Amino acid sequence: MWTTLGYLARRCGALLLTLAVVVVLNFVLVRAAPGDPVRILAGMDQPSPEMVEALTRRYGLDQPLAVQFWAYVRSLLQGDLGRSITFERPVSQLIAQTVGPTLLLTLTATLLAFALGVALGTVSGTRPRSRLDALLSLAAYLLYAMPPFWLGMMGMLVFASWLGWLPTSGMYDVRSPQTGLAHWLDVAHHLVLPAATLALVQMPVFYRVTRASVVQVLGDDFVTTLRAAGLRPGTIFRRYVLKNALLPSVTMLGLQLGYVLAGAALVEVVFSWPGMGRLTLNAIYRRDFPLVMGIYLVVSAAVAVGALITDLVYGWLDPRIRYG
Amino acid sequence: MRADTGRHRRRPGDPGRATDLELRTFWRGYVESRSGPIGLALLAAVALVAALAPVLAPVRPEAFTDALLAPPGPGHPFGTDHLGRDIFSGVVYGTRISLLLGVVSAAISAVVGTVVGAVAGYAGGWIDEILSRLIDVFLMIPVFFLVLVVIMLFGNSLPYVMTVIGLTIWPANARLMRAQALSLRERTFVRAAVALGEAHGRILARHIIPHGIYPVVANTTLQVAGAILTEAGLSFLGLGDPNVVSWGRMIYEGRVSMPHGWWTTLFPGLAIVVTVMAFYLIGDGLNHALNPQARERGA
Repeated sequence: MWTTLGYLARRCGALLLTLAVVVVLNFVLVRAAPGDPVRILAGMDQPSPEMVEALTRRYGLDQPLAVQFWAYVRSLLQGDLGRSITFERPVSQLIAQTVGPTLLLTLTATLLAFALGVALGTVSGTRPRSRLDALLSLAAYLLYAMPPFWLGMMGMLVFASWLGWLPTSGMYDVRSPQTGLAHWLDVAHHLVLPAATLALVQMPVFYRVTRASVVQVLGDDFVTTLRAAGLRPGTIFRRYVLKNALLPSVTMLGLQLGYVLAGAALVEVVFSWPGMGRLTLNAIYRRDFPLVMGIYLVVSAAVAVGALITDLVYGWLDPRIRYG
Repeated sequence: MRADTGRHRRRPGDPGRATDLELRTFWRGYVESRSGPIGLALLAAVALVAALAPVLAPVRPEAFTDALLAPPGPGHPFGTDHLGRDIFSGVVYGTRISLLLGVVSAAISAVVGTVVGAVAGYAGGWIDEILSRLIDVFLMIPVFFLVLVVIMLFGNSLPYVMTVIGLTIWPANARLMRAQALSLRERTFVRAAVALGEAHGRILARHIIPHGIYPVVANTTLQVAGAILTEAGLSFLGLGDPNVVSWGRMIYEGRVSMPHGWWTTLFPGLAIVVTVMAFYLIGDGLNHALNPQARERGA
């Protein structure tokens, strides 16, 4: 019990350390970048004198670095991520508005990828080196090598532009009802292409991990023993093999999060999905640095928290782990 | 003293340089992997295209021709974009950019990762404690978004992009090298070197790194692939080097001609898939050859 608590404390410590490093990086990068921080924060080369004054005061740019850093940390602790220059609104508000669609897209795609990857990985792992295994492995390689945005564009071309089965962009049709079941069906219809794209590029990771661990567990001595004891292959598989083989895929869920969010951002841009990815693109185009830095902070925090949760879930799933 | 004993001198338990037999076993494992040889063949083809780019490409990739958004045909095998640039030439020359970017980024990552990991694992103690924390923290930072922020702040010329990607992906290599150094440190030949009073730097350079580098090499090939994909993603967000015709940039610029000019995005994307896959296949082949236990089980 105490070791579990100690483990928990250490993992939370690691989380805080990561967040601290990200905050320091954010602070240092803006000040180390070529050019005046005021110009960077203003997002233009010739900010008006009033703007320079306002920004200098806001970020305390005329103060010593230590004071600036302390002010930055204090405002972050108060939940203040800064103010977007081009949207003229708090960064936290802009992120709060776009996080919903991003979560919807990311979670749908990840669940799909996990289910598909584990299922196909099991199919391959139970018959290694068969023709079906070779075919699935090839497909996994191909998908793994695809830039998500390109796959999205190709999907859009075929299923939206040519076949006309699915909408090309956005999250809902402005002409359809904005409430109730009809609205959610409309959203689901718009979700198909982006979610499928993101799921397909993620799937190979789960496929490969599952396949490898199924092959490994099937070769373990205890499986041979169970077989010798006369248990039916189906029972051995369901009760003993799959459980063990699933664990590494669960770990991947957490490790993948940063990669998934990057993929989601690119896919959102392709499909004009109104999430954080599109917000990032807007911020890049308008050189809105406070917004970009705020998004970076939030994404980093999400990834770190995601990794912690995965760790805990893993420990709960696998009783062999005793957090020594 | 050194000249006459150098090559054949072996300390007790020193595995020494790889012998012919070991190399042959390794190669057999690589060929057995199936993915390895296919990847090598693909990479050879891609490298050939890069080397012969001026011969293969009908025009320079930046050249504007009179045919605007022409579909694939005799004059332009992959068609042209909305400004009349030949897609085939862009794809051919883009091979050079992608290979350069991937290899340089991964090489930077390999060097930094190897040094940090080897020092951490070999030194142990508080040095290891600090370096390991650092590795863990940087492993958790989402690379793509960090690269994006840095490129936006510091500029987007190709050398910059390569360096930044390289400097953000090294922790994976460091972790692999650290594990290797931890186990090599306990081996007799390294202990003998320590007992003989060899300098730590020399032990690292002569014993730890040469014997522990193999997993880093395999991971580096995978990182070449990752770097190429990262650059493509950056270019797609408009953060690529504007003076360089890269595949990601072609897709980014081809977006305006979708859905009618599908060839402007299809072909550069296929080029990315083939190149990235080549490196993934090679990396898997290397891992397979390095991992005999998995090999016996048919993984």
